[in-house]
Amino acid sequence: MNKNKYISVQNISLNYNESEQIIKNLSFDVASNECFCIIGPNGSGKSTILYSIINQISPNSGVIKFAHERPLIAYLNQDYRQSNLLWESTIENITYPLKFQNVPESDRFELGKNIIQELLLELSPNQKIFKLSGGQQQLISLGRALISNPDVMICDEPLSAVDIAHSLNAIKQLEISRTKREFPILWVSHNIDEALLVSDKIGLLSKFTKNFYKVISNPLPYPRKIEDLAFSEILTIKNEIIDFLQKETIK
Amino acid sequence: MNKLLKSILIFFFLSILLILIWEAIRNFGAFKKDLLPSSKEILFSLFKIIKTNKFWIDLLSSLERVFVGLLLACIVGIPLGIFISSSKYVKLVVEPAIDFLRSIPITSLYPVFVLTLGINNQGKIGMIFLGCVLIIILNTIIGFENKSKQRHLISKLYGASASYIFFKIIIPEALPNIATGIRVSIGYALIISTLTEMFMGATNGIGQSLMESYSVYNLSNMYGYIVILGCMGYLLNNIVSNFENKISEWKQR
Repeated sequence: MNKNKYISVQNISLNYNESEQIIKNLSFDVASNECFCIIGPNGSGKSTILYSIINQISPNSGVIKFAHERPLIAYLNQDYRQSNLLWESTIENITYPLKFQNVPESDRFELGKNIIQELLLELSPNQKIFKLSGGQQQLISLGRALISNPDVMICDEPLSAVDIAHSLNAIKQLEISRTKREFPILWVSHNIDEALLVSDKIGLLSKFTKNFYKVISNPLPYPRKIEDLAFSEILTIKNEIIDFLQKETIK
Repeated sequence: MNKLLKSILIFFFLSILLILIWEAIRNFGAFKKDLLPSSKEILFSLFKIIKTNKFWIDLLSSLERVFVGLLLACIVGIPLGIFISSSKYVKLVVEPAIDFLRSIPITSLYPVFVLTLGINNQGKIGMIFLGCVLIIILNTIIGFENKSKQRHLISKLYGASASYIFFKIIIPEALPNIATGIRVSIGYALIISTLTEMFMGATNGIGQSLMESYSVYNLSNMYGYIVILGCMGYLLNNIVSNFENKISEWKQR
C-alpha cells in the first residue's frame, strides 16, 4: 500500500453532458495521514469531484484509485436532512455503522454516548432527531463518521450549519481521532478559517481552468490552535485565497 | 386534557350550528316541511336507534366490512406497490393501468361485483377492497419513489446490510405516504360499504337500516342514520389522521 497516495486522482475529466465540461484533467493525491481541502467558487465542481470519488459518477476520462480494494467511506454532506435517519434516535443515527462491524449493542451505546459528549451535543441518546437544529444534525453525521473508523472521509461542507464553538471543538476531536488512527480526508469548504484549521493541503479550484489554480501546503503546526491563524504566514495565505475567490467571481 | 376540552367545545358549537342551519332550511327553505323532520324529532330518533340491539349489530357489521376490505387492500396493495416501484419498467407499464382503473367510478362496477361475487359479504367486501387497493398501491409507489438517494448512499458506504436499508431506511421513509393512502381509503371504504348495504341485499349494516327507514317512510329515523354515518366518517377520519400525523411527524419540519 502506498501511504502517500491513499486516494489517487489521476487526470480525470468530468462532464455534465456532451457540451458542458466541469472538471478538466485534474490530478491530486491524498496521503493516508493527510487532509486535503478543496476551496472554490460556487459551481466550480467541488461536490462533483467528491461524487466521482465515492463512485456515484464515473469520470469521462482518467482514473481514481484507492490504496484499499474496498475502503469504508464516511461521506458527509451539508444537507443534513437527507443525511440522517430523521425518524430514529440520536444513538441509532450515530452508531448504526457499528452494527455492520459486529460491535455488541452495549458497546455501541457506550461509544455513542461518548461521541455525543465529545462533540458537546447536549442530547439524550434516545431522543428522536427530527426536531434538532441543522448544526446538531450535522454534528450527528460527523459523530457517525468518527465512530465508524472509516478508511476514508469525504466531507462536503460538513460544518456549514454548525456554530463556531462547536466547529472548533469538532475539528479538535477530528484531530484527536486522526492521531489515534490515520485516515485520509477530503474536505470541501467555503470557510477559509475552517479549511486552514483542518487541512494539510488546500486546492484552489478554478471555474475557468476547470482545474486547480494552485495547491497550497498548510504550514500551521499541530495541534492546531485558533490563535495560530494570526501568524503572518497564514494571513498571507488567507489573503491569497480571498484574492483568488474574488478574481473567480468578479471580472 | 386541554385538547380534549377544546374538541368537546368545538363539537358542541358545531352541533348547535348544524341544528340552526337545519331549522333555517326547514322553516324558510323551498322544501315541504314534512319531508324535513325537526331537529328535535331527529335527535329523539337518534337516541331511540342507539338503544336498539339492531343498531349495534349494524355498526359492528359495517365496521367489519370497512376494516376487512381495507385490511385486505393493505395486505395486497403495499407489497404490490413496493414491487411496482422497484423496477422502472414494471412501473412504466403498470402505473398507467392502475391509474386508469382508479379513474373508473367504482359504482359503475357494482353489477360486476354482484355477478361475480354475489350479494353476500364477499361482494360488498370485494368492492371495498378494489376501491381501496388502487389508492394504496399508488400511494405506496409515491412513498417508495420519493426516498432520499443520499440517505441510502451514505448508509451503503458505511456497509449497511440490505435488510437494514430496507426495514430501517426505505420503509420508514415511505410510511407517511402509505398512511396517506390508508386515510384516503377509509373514507372511500365507508362510502362503498354504505352503498352496498343500501342496494346489495344486505340484512344488516347502517346503510341497510337507513334504506329500510326510507322504504317505510320513517324519515326521522332515516336522518338519524345519516347523522350516525356522518359521525362514523368523522371519527374514523380523525383517528387515521392522528395516526398519519404521528407517522409523518419527522417530515413536517
